[in-house]
Amino acid sequence: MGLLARLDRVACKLALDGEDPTALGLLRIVLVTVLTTSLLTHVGAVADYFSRDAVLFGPWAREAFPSRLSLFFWVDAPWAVRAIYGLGVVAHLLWLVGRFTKVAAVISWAVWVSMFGRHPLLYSLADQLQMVLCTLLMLMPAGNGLSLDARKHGAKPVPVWCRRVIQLQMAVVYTSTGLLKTGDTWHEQGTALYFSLANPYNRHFEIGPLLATLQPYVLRPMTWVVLVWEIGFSAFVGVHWLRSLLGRPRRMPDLRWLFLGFGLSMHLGIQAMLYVAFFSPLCIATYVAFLRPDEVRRIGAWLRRRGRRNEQRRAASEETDPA
Amino acid sequence: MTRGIGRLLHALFVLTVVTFILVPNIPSKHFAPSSTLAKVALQVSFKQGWQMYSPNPQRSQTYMNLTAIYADGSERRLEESAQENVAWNTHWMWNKTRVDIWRQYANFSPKKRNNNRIWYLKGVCVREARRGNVPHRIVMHQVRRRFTKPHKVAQGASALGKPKRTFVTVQYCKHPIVLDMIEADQASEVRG
Repeated sequence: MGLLARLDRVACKLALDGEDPTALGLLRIVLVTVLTTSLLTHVGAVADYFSRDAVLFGPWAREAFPSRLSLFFWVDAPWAVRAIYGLGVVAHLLWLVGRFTKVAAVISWAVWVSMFGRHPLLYSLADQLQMVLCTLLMLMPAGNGLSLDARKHGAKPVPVWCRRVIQLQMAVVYTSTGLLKTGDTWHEQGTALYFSLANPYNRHFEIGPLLATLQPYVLRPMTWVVLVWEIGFSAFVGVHWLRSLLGRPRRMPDLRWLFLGFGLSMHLGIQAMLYVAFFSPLCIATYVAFLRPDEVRRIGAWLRRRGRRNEQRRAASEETDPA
Repeated sequence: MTRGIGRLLHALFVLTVVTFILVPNIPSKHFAPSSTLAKVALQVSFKQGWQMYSPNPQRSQTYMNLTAIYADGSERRLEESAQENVAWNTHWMWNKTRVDIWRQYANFSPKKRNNNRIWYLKGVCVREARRGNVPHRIVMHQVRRRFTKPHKVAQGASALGKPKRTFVTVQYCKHPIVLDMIEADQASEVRG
């Protein structure tokens, strides 16, 4: 086989080959659930934020935020902004269940772009990840599986790059944030977690003295472990791809449980301790991209079996105790 | 042949997506096109750059304190100033608004020009005008409290330092741009 043919084979295995759409379908469901919930948190304030009822409106809004596009720079009547938002909610629900998925995805994305573009200062870094994931998911044929479209027209394979692009995005998020953490609280002192958890801007609990007691034994080692995990995430994704290219040989261990298990506990911890908008649910949702279609199918089959068993048990108990 | 072109276009599409994910994360001093690409992507709010808790997490928290001064010399503390007294304990999703995020951006770089702050304060003039009384000017201070180092907290020190109040800026609500905003706002209210 020539070099070009080999490269072509690698490119196909990495990106262009088709796979069962179930895993991407599940990814769509969990990500769009988070997006929809986040969208619904705007209820009641949409016109105040994005219409001419906002304190920055008309040409001054465009002057304040010149580098972004937004439909709401041109359509700014409060009723029209609310109507577009309402359309966005409907589009999200359709995207979630996978009906008219492509159109629903584009409309949902356009509504988010318009909201972010009209007033980017209402959004944090957590929301930035949401916008990025929304854009990437919109570009994917995510309605090909686990959707009403698939039920109607039949499931179609999806290219493997879809899940890999989400994996790559998370590798970029974690590794770049890890590399940018160059300060002494992350390195010499190991106090970064303490300061993050003690910040009154977004802490859930006021437990400074307890955190200070835990600092030398728990928070300092955890600060360094988090840093190593973040920087190492790209290596993990690289090894994960290599393992998949080589046909998952036994000598290459599956590191997903280690890396994603740590990530899951870390994000649950962050969610419990801090207000970080939808950052933790989003990150955890992206971990679905690391599940293979056959694994998602197995999980689905297990859940169905469990559901059937519960139903049988309920029916049996009703028979024995009709009252 | 058609299948080959289709595959090539598919590959180019994937390559473009990957480029938009990776390249904007490269500092532009190392790779100049990264900032151009970032600007293109920013138009649709696709923004890379993940400087979270870096290079260090916050080691102090700042809230803004706004005072409206009216033409007759009277003064009124505006709603933003309430945070100075009540926002040092805990926060949950239901007691945060998106405007809190805007205020946070407006608080950055108190000694330098910050467009986010300038527009926030112009917006405050419009908001106050809607409530019926246009201030002559808005005076902005910041109240900042440092977080005490954990070893000192473990020895019994308070987790938050004493509040430090500093002057930041003044926004005149009679500034021509602000007057235009207020006039347009009132005209749109009349139009309904």
